[in-house]
Amino acid sequence: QAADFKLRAVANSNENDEDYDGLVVFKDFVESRSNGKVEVELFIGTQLCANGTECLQAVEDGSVDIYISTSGGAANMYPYVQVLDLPYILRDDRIAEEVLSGDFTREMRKAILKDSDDKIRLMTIGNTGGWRNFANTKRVVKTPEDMKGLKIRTVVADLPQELVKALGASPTPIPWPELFTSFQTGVVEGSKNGITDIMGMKFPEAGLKNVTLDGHAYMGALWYMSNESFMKMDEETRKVIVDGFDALQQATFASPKRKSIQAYADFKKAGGNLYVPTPADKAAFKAAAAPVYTWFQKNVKDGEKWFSLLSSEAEKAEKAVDAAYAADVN
Amino acid sequence: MTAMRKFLHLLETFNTYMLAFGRSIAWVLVALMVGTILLQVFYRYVLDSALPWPEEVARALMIWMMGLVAASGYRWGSFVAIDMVGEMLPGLLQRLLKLFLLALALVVLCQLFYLAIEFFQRGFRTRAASFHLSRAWIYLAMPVCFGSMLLVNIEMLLREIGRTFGDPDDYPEPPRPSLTVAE
Amino acid sequence: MLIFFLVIFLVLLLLGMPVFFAMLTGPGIMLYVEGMDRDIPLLFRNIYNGIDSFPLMAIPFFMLAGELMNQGGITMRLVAFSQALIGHVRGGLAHVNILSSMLFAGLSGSAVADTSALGSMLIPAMEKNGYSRKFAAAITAASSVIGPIIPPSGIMIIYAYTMEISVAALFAAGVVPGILVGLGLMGMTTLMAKRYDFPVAGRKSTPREKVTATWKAFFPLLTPVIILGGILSGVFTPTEASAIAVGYAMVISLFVLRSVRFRDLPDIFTRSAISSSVVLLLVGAAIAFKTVVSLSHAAEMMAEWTLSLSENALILLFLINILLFIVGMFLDAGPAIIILGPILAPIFIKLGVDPVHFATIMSVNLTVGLATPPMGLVLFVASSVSGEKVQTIARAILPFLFVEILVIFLITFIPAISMTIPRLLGLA
Ligand code: NA
Ligand code: NA
Repeated sequence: QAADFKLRAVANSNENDEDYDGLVVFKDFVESRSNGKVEVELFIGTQLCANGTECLQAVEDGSVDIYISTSGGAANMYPYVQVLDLPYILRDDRIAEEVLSGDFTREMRKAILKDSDDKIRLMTIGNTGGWRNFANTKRVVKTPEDMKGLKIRTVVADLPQELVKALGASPTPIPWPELFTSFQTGVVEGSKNGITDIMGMKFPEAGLKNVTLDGHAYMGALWYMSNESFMKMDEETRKVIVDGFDALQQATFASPKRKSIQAYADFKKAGGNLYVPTPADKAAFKAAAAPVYTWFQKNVKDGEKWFSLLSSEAEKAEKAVDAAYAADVN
Repeated sequence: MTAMRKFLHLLETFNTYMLAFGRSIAWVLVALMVGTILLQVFYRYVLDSALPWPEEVARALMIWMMGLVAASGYRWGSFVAIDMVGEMLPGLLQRLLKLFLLALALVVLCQLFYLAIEFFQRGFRTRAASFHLSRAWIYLAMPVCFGSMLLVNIEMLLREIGRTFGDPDDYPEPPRPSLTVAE
Repeated sequence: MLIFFLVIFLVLLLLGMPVFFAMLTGPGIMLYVEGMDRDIPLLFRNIYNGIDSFPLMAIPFFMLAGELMNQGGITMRLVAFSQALIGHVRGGLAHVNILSSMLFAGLSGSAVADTSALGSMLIPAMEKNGYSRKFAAAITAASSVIGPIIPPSGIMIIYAYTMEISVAALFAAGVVPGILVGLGLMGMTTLMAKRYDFPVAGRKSTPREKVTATWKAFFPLLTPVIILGGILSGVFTPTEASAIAVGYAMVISLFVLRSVRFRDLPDIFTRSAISSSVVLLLVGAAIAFKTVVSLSHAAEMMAEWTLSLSENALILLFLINILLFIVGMFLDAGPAIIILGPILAPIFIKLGVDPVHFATIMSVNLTVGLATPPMGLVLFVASSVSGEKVQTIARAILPFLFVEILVIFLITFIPAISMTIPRLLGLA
């Protein structure tokens, strides 16, 4: 029996990535729970479109049904999603997961639906690659002062460049495939990536040996669906889809934690230095990064609104988690 | 036939001016592209602080450069094709084959032009990553590109119709500007 | 049956539709027939998406640099330099033609530019010296494929862009294979020179003449040192290096050699804009075409089929070289890489072939395809430069093609030829 709904899902990463793990869970979930009514076809990599702007436009056109981007990937289309890139707002995994499972995501869904003429529906926000940390080829960075003068690779986007500048380093846009060589030859001296990407590209072999676990940004993964494809389903099926994305979110929360164990082990084996900043160091980083908060609120559409929403949601989550500690620890 | 010849002549003249206009802007864009990247090199290596915008600006200039001269390339035969089969056919058949391929290309260009207009209109919802400009103004190069190629294609098609059903000598190639290379 | 788009594409291509249109028409028709309307906008978008790329920008820049050098009489100085070195041996001008191509290759990334620049100068000179015109055209075409093998290289930029690997690594891998092709062609020329009693071009140059010729070619010869030195030592990214090449070419042709005037610049810039726009559109159309290859799952089918033939990397490499050679006869190198690279490379990388090694094999093979009929760009250009028919040149080029095929197999089965330099530089 042929499926009633054929969904085309795209992730620009590869099959070793947590995005793929999430999609496999999603595909299995919706195909089995819908009794074959829904079929999901996966296109991994850049087969149909190659980056956030291209793929989101393809979702708007109706050529792609499901897509995942990072906040950087959607920044051209919906600049305010970069709120997730603001450093040091989400304390740890538990807080991030609490916030992203709640009303924050629903608010963002509303905004994106509005800005895309009801074409793109944010389904859920998971994780891809854990946390962003500063890594460099030169020295162990313990405090913001140690960042001074380092040439740090960023993507071509203003927020990450502002952050690097705020810390006294100099942002340098380098295409991803040239990054290995650029480390080797000193065109850049550092980057801000998750550990799995660092190990996946074998950067320690190019000299990238110092990682500071400052965890400046949670690498949120925004999962979208074509609103038209979603709304034309009956309510029963829509429920299956929503549950499918929930299962996907859980899978992408879990997958990076599992994957980073091996990556950190490999990093140490390759002679890498890991520095875990003390709470005082981290407070210093947060203070040094403060200009980025101002920049975001001033320069990004509705920046103030999103900054205060994320901050208040994070506070709420911290309270909830602290309450849970009170019950669980004692 | 006479009416068509008149129309073709008009179109040829229009296209000649349009293409010359496109070329006269395109070379400036090339110069700006080079300048932008050299500026970036200067900032990065001499001043040791990279600018955020040159890469994206240079890309936009490149897209516009292409959009403005693609039709010149099309009119003067830079779009390579295999002519082996055509040359083996007898004269009339060769002409008809050419007509058929030009008509097919016309359909493709119409479709591309239509989609490019849509692309441009929707581009107002996207902004450039490193400077404050709607990406629509970059996307506009695409309707310009395919629109001008479409006009050139219509010209080529009419000329080919004329050569097939009238006296080929009445339908000479439009003069080639001295600068185009024979490729 | 979406997969029929391949058939329609091939038929239209053979009937003489320009590659750009054939790559869009075949998929367009089948998407329409299959009712996959929502994919037609995707096809269009990917033309744009394919072109909007920073790494690709090196192509227009290297084209412009080549154009400036050529206009600036730099080609002439390179030829004079080659002449001073090897002009006196039997078959001298044929050797000069090859050596000039190797030197020109360090400045230019395109075989077409090489053929038109060197051909327009050397073919008449060779004819005057007593060579047949078809031989002169054939050696020009055959040696011009060195252009995109020795870096910089437009074809390698396209490969690196499509497959997301480092341009620097690929450039480094091309140096020795390019020199090998040149030496191979010189070897074949030596054999033929004895057999057909080729003329010598003149007496041996005196040391003094050699010094003068070298000095005159000094600034042009410095270009590859700047470009390659800059890229390989990692000082510049490839796109930056290409812009620097333009700047350098402008400075030496405007101020040092004074062979270009300011008022020549608009024409030079326009010419390179037109040639690059054609290449860019071709890249865009190929990216769009590749989308439909993905939608039809042709890639998976082909990968499965390939692996069903054999799981031995060496046997598969042999077969793939034959396939690539045939593809190269009909398709331009750029589109062939964009369409086939993502299908073939993962198969061989899984089988343990180094990504850079495979990239070199594929790039060199498809580059040689530029000199084979029926779709041989440099044959077309050699024909228009020399006035000799394409078919005539195609026959005269056979012994040289034989040498180039031999080099392809050497590169394939001796990885050290391409991999040594990138490994020494730590790029692979
Ligand atoms: Na070259
Ligand atoms: Na040559």
